[in-house]
Amino acid sequence: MDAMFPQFRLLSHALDFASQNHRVISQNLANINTPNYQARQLSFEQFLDHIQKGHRSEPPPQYDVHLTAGLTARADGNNVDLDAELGNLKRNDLTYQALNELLGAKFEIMKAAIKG
Amino acid sequence: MQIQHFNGANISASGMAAERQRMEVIANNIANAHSTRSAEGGAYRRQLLVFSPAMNDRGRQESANDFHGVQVLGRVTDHSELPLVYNPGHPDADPESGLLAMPNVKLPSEMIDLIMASRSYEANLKALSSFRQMVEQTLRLLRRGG
Repeated sequence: MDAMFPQFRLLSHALDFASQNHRVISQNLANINTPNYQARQLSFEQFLDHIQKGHRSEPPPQYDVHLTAGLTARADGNNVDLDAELGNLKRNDLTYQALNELLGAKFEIMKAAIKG
Repeated sequence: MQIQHFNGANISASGMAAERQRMEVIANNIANAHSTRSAEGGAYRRQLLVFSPAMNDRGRQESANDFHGVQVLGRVTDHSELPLVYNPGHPDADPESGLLAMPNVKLPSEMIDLIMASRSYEANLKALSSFRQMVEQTLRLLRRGG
């Protein structure tokens, strides 16, 4: 399966990363009024590293969560930036949609090849 | 570890529930901005909610699966000083000085908190609707590919 359709694995790993990223962004938004909460993010580098090292055949890992650097904390110690998080949310959403479209297109191609 | 599907919705839902609860507490504060008699005795005191990030059983936040949104730990009372108003005719006023203790609710700050809660609610709603879109789109793949 992998030898025939390497892109399926790649796309599904990328989709998994995007959906984990969505969880992290949702968590930040849910805690926008929690005192002393620090905004978190996933590292894209870790995902890239995982893909490039050829671990595609393995199930997608749980990526590490890091504190977002360079944010200014409010008076209550919370440093979630609402606009930045909503921007991340939209960007992640569009990435997910694009990957999904790609995966759908791949399926269409395969279907066309089978039907002849 | 098993990936928990559809749990992204729970995170946003917890945020929405917490913000809604906060709006209720704020509305209660505003409604009681002039209540000079309460169950605890004396004037009404402003109520506040305490939020905390919800974590998994081990209390870790190392990967996305450890995130469970926000939880309301409880409601606390604002013990700041009650403003005194000279109103000798009021039954709750101090008979000697004529000073009446009013609730420590400040309307402007309550209104700002209300707007904040409403905007945060919207942000959580946005995250939820975008999660719904993501799931819907993936399910559409099944329909098309089948």
